Amino acid sequence: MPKKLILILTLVTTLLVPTRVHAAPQADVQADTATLDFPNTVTFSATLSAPAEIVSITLEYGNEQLNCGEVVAKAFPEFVPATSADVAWTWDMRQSGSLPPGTTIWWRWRYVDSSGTEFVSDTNTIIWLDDLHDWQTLSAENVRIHYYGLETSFAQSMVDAGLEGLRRNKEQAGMTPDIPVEIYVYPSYDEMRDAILYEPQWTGGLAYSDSSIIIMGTSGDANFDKATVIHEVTHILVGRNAFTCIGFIPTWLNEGLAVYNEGPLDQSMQSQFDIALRDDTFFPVRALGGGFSEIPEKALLSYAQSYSVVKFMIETYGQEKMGQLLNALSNAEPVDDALVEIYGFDIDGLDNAWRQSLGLAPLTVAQATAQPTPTFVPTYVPIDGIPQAITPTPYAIPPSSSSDGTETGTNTDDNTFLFITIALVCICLIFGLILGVIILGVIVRKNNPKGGNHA
Amino acid sequence: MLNLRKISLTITALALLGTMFLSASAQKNVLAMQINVPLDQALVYNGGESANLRDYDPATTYSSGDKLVFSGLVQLDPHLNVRPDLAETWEVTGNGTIYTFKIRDNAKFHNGRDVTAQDIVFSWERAASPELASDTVLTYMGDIVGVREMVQGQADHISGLRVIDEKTLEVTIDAPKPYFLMKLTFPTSYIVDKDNVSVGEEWVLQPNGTGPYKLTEWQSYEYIIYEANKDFYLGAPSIPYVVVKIYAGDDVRLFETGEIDVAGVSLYDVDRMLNPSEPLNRNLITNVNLCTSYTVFDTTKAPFDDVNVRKAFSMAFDRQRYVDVLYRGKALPAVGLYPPGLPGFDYGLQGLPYDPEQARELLKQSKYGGPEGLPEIVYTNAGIGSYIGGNVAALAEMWQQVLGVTIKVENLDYNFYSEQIFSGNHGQIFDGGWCADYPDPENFADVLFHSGAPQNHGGYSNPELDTLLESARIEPDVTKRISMYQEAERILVNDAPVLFTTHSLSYLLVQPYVKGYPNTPISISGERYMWLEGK
Repeated sequence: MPKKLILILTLVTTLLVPTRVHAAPQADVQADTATLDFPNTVTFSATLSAPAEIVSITLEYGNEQLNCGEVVAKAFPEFVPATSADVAWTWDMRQSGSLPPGTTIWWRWRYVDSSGTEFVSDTNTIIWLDDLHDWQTLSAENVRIHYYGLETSFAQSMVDAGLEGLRRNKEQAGMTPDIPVEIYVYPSYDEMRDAILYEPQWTGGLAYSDSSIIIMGTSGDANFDKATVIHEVTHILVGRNAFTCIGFIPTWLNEGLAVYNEGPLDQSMQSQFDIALRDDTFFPVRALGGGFSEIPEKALLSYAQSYSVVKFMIETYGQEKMGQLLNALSNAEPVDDALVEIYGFDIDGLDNAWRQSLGLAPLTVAQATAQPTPTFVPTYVPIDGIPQAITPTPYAIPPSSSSDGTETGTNTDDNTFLFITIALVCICLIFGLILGVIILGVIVRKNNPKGGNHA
Repeated sequence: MLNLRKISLTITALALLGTMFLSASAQKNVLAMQINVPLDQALVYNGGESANLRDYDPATTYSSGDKLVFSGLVQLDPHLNVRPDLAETWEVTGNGTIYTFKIRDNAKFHNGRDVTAQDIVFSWERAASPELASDTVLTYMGDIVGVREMVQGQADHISGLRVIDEKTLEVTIDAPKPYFLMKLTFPTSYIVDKDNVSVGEEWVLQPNGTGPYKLTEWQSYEYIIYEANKDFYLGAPSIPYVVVKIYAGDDVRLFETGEIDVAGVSLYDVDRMLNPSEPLNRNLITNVNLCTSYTVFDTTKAPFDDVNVRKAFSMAFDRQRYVDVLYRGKALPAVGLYPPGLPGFDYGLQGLPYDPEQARELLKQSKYGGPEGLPEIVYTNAGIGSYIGGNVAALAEMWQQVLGVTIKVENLDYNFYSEQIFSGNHGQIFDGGWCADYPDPENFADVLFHSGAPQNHGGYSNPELDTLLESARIEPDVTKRISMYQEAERILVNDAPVLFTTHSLSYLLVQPYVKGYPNTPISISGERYMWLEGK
């Protein structure tokens, strides 16, 4: 199991002090806390009191993020009905997936007593972040760097890289941030990965555009880290400027823009790109619309190819069309439709045009695996209707690992028996043949006791 | 069964990551989990874990249940035919109302104790007991005489059960219903051990079942180990172990690095897997699930107590755009209740079309007079935190754009979502969907929309439909019976108690050394048919 930072951080926001409510009757809430076990869980707990027996309790909570409309999450902690109830509920990130470090989580309690009176506590907040470390913050304009264990000068270089990322995006696509970009910089990749769950092992940085949060580890190569900041800042801006409730931005486009804004490909990506160009082993662009491979070499090529495609689009057709494409996607147009409308070709057409620009032949791969078709299943016949009862039919399962009982019901014992039978028959035949030859030899020798040739 | 439960918990675990993008680091960090069984003799999955122990109890689960550990009298085979399981044979008499099951002589619990007819009576009466409060028992066992009375606390026993001898059980149902045996393939009627369940609700962590595998170790949030039941009544399974890694990461990534043997492919990864030059393409198997996704309107609450409002919301839904953009074409648009492949599926069915003008007109004609007359509308969704899936977001956006209606979304903890829905604690609209438990349209139309059916969460009631469904239950002519269910579907489309959205497609990766994988559109006990070759 990955080594995880285990930290218990208790925020006592209103410890032992009853919380005031707004329009509803006064809620008597004590020990209203959120306890972090970073990065796995946050547990909300409180002691709630009411003049009459409490009959229902709801925890309302959520996290700050860009969303499609108003969203309130609710949980229903177990409790024993009484005038005072101790309650707790745990948000397990291992089930839900990680929130990005630095996310603001809010919560409040809503409960009803047996007289029907509803009480609502004040809303509290907590930051989802470990505090094992002495986090520092450095900011300029719309970039805020949070860091620990790193020199201030290095943090300043990250701020500068963030500002450079904003500048390039504004110049090249007119994209600007609506809220500050928060960048959490860990001294190593391992420490960054300890703060999140379920990421590929090659992950060096992550951008959560809904929250305008970036997390990244440092590589020891300042230029590489600056490029990472610019890369992730681009994701934030693309994600927020092209935010859509229904549509999506294909990965090749999002990653391509991010790598393009970094500048020329780094050596590792360039190397993979050169090999693919030499051997013509690029992926179809359509196949890069979703997740990239877990295999590092394939992942690097995926990034490099995305970069090359976006570079081709921008440098051949101009920034304006790229802006139009992002706008169309944010309006929930299918990717193929948006490309045809703006560029005159769909994804496959783009693929061929890009390949042609590299001197490669048009895409000639086989057709993609077809969409599945339904399996028609039997129509059951009533047992007492048309005279066809369901007959209990014993079936056989493969008791060993060498037969397929699914289709035929044949089992290994049957196969073994058949094999042994055939083998015995063969042995008998061979034995009989040998015996026959010997007998024939004896007969021949009897008829010709002197042997020798009769030539 | 509820469609939501069929969705892999692993996928939901990654839901919060929907808008996250990565960049590569310069190094690779390899981590490994220590599992003390020979993995080359194990079928390895990635899975999730519910915080709700009732999800693991066959009598209370809403899902397809744990078919490794538990079993019932009958089962569906890979061709979806009903086959004997714990029951060796059965006879049907009494004009189709009396079933006499003969239990296999070698049927045993995992601890070696013989399975008897009394065990079945105990298991079924436990499922029907008011104390257990199973939400599924009436759906799957309500045809048995006396179950309803016991559920309602009017009887201490199920009167329709009679133990003939240690290995013979007679079951009387209330009418000759052709689908009765199929209902017994659902886990509600699976067999549990009286001593085992008496230890309290945590018995499910150390179950003594009758199925092909024994649960031998459960490390919460790490892994579950199942070991082949060598005394399984149909012969020991070929694969010695089944290991479920819990929340080990993204399925496709784990598959690609050889850490798991079967992986569900999420929409995010489908395009890559469909590429013939992608090596994993050779491991891809696909299917159309017997599932229909929909959004439920609570017809007992304003404003969806007015059919014009329901139709307006339905006709403001651009189904094709929803499929093309949100699902990137990797789903089938659903205009009606039955999924393709199910008996009764009607190719010619005309659903309510996308028609913004007509939708606005219908809303105006409703008793609410238009969007300004509507009460606040809450959409209940299964989720944790503030993230909402694209399906809800898309609907919210379309209703806003076409009708000018803004909805609020409440996310309910998905560990207890079904309980909340069953208890009526939901907004006027909520996530729904249904995957076939068995291949019969009764499992959709009657189970979901008959007045008072436990799974009819939207409170829809139509006497004409009820009469039709009640006749179809006992209609002996198959053709006529199917046409009755098709008529029922047309009534439902016209009344719009739900908004039909999609039929899901299934994309799975299976390692080449896994043999005999049953690619069925309904969840069955597949591991008993599989074997490993060269792992």
